[in-house]
Amino acid sequence: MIDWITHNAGLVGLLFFFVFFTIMALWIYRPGAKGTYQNLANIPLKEGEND
Amino acid sequence: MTASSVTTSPRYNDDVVRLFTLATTFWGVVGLAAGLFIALQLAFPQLNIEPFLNFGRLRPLHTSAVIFAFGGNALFATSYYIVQRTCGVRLWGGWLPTFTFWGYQAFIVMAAIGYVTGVTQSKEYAEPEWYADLWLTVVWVAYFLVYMMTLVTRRESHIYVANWFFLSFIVTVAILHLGNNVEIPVSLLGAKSYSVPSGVQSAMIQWWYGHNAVGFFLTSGFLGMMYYFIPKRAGRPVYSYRLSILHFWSLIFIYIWAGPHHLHYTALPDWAQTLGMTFSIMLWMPSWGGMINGVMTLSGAWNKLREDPVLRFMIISVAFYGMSTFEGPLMSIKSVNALSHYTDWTIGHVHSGALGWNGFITFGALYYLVPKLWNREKLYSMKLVNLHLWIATIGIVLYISAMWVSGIMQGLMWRSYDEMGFLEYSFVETVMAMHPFYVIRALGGLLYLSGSLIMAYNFWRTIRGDVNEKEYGVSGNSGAADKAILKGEPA
Repeated sequence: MIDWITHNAGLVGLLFFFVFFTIMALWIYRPGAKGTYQNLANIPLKEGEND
Repeated sequence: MTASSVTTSPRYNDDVVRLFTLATTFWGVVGLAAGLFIALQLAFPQLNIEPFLNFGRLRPLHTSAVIFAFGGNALFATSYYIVQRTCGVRLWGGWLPTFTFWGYQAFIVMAAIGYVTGVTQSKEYAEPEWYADLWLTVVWVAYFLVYMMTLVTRRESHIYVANWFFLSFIVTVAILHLGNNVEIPVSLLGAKSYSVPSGVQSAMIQWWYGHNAVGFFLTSGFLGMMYYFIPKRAGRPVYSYRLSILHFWSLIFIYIWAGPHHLHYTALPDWAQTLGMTFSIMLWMPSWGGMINGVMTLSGAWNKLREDPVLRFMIISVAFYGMSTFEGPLMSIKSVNALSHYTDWTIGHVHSGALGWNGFITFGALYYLVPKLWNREKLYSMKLVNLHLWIATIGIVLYISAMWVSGIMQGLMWRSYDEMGFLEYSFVETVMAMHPFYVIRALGGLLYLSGSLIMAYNFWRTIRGDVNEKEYGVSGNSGAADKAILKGEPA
């Protein structure tokens, strides 16, 4: 297994990054999460005094 | 600094942010003045003063002063300011942030003394020799610790996206710095060292470093500024937080592969050149996604652009970010690069990014920060901000248009043959043809430098507590707000 991964490091790397990126992109655009992200965008605007 | 300018709130460590803010302003003026001087040296070679102040030694002095001294101090100042506000905690590490300030200034001075005395590794943007490299490593590890531990001790459960960009900048610059400076000193008391890799491997590592210095020092870190200061100044959340996350991951996944486009038509294997070109073109997507996200934050509030020159600085900077990140992939295409490489077009491209994007977002951030850090209600003069904006914008336009014309002319002259197959122009003829554009470029630089001096004056008056009474029609900047601060009340 380790040998196979070592010999195909390029392919493994490509698949790893591609799969990670695709899942991440689908996850952040998942339905119903709009409000969550809108709240997060407000973090800099909700500081108290002396900001 | 007067007593009244010191923040009494123990919540945040703003002392170190103030130090970095002053250093940013100082090094900005120094770096731009060095740039103007070397631009004049190119137009008027008799200005080369041998040996300490010749072009070859002052050029790295200029690039390091603007990138690492001006840009670096701006990144320290803004990252320390932002991480405290968005995490709701004081900067971690007690005296460690102050150490990063003095340690970083020591690195800048070490590097600068090396340049003028002829000490260099001859690697572009990585010129400092081994002893300065080691010292920078110590300072950078301290920076990473301060930043990371501040994130670890945060009160806000989510890490705001600006911090992602800053953290990726800190981590990647550390890796790049270590990777590109594997070298063996000739002696322990001598400045000279030799790089362990050689030949094309060394060139590839150098441009993996060089391009990602652009990608992570000058892009990722400054995007951290964009994602905080534009929403703050506009008083609106970023246009799409989802897009900002997509921007982050796609930018860092793609940028790291783009370096080989600096080595087109060299001994680097062809596949690596094509890989670099392909990833550079793919960068169009995240770059423009990010630009749209920054600009569209003003959606529904465009009138603020008319009223606020500080916001105008920020939005023009994002427009330049979009423009230079369009031009970069274009120039990475091999057939375009065959014309553009080694010409002034590259210099024009770099400066549209550096002056337009990095310079303007930093000026915007500084104009935002200075009144807040010194507890002033407002800047000494908004009219001077506006004057700075337009002088600098005209300076950039003169600079980049002169370099476009000069560079494309230079490339076309180099490649033109007569009917017998001989080169039509000698090298010196191309240099003579470029002279007028060199003069225009120096004029652009003079305008940009003048703008930064106006800014420094505006900051000096603001910090002193002055307001331009004619402009505001009121008296005293350091009145009620400062008295409240002295009494320990919130501003």
